[in-house]
Amino acid sequence: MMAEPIAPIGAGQLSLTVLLMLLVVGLSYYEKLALEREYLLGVGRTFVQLLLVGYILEYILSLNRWYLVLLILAVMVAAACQAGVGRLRRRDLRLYPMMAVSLLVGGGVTILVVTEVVLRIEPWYHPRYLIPLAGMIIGNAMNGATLGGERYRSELLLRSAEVETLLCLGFGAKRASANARREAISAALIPTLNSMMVVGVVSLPGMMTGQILAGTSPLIAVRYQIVVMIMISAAVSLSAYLMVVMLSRHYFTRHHQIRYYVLKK
Amino acid sequence: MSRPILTLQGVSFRYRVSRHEYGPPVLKRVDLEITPGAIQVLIGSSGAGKSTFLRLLNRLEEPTEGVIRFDGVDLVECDPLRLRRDVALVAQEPFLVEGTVRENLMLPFEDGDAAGGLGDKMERVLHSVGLTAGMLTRPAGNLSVGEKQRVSLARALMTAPKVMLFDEPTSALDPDNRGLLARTVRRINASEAMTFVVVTHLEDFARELDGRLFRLRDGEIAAL
Repeated sequence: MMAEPIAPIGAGQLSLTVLLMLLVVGLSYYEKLALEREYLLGVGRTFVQLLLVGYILEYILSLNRWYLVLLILAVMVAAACQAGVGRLRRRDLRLYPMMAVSLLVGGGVTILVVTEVVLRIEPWYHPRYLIPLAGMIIGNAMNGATLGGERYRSELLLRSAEVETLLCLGFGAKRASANARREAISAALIPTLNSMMVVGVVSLPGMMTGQILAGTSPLIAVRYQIVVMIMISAAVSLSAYLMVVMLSRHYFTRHHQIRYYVLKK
Repeated sequence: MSRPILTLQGVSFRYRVSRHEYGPPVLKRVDLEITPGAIQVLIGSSGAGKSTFLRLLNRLEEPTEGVIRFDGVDLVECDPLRLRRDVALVAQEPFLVEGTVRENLMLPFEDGDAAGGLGDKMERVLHSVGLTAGMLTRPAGNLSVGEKQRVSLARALMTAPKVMLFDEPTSALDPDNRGLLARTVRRINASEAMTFVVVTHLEDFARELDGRLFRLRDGEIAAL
């Protein structure tokens, strides 16, 4: 099936979305949600950030240089690292290298397999594929590492009696924290599993919707979506696992003692 | 007099509050010898650092200053996992894994390093803590606090430790159960010649144990 040319959205049409914005502002005013300012700020940021990204992507796609693509990926990883550590809400500088490793390895392996083994894009850095796919992978890897890391910490605190009992029975930190680790990695994967269960039935994923709107055959769009769902699950589990393993070394000494001053920070 | 099984020389301890900062002193230059085969009881009010003292003896914590020796060997030279099987610690709040009493008693051997004859051993340790073999199939979740405490002690006995550290064992027990527990400790000590270090805030219970008494106050330990 030939893709029909997509109907472009003009600046005038874009500004007509103001009608929907008024609806939200009106509701906020009527129900005294006091969210008008925040909402308008959100709208402003949506416009500015996305238009900016649009221009940058347009520029990078037209130049088609591998180093520019890698630069964009590096910026994505750095931003995800900052946002991920921020969400852990701990004043602990050592979380940065851990987050970076889980994103680079967890996300990197997934990106490599998807672009070079499954899709086999040519050239390897083809920005039209690599940038959006890497964006999704890095974003989800960040969620995985953050969810897993935060849950691991709270499980260790919650299960400190269990962990200490096992340490006292002569088990190493790895065995003593096995239940906490298991809970943390599962918790990180659950949102992904849930969305896999309902994908296409309850929700049409954003990327697939976008492709269909852009004129791609739904049959091709769903194949991409399948790849996307599986790559997201891989990125999430790998990065959550790496984060938890690295945190384990951070929370326990090599003599199998709990570093409470780090855990409770 | 026989050589002490655990020796503390000038041991001070402060909890870390960050990588480079320490809190107020919990123990101050403590010198103490733990006699093998005896019951020693450390009395102190809550928050005095009694639990911390025990945690240092099985290397859950490291002293900020000073040396602790087990059988003459500096603890920093000991493999902590091996040490914790020789110097067992029963925590104030007993933690039992989900499953039966049997599964709890088998827990220390899940690595498969059991020397055989575990069935007999389980019955023997249950008996020594005043419980019967009928307990083996009971779910750990249904036990009373006193029973949990005993199963927790029995589980620690399974690895045949040389020293048993017992942290505030009476915290959830009524006076009858306290007396029972004191008799249990004395019986195990007499029959197995096992060294006990028990910490408590109850003077009566401490006397019932009929051992060497020490008091921990303001970070210092003195014999009574």
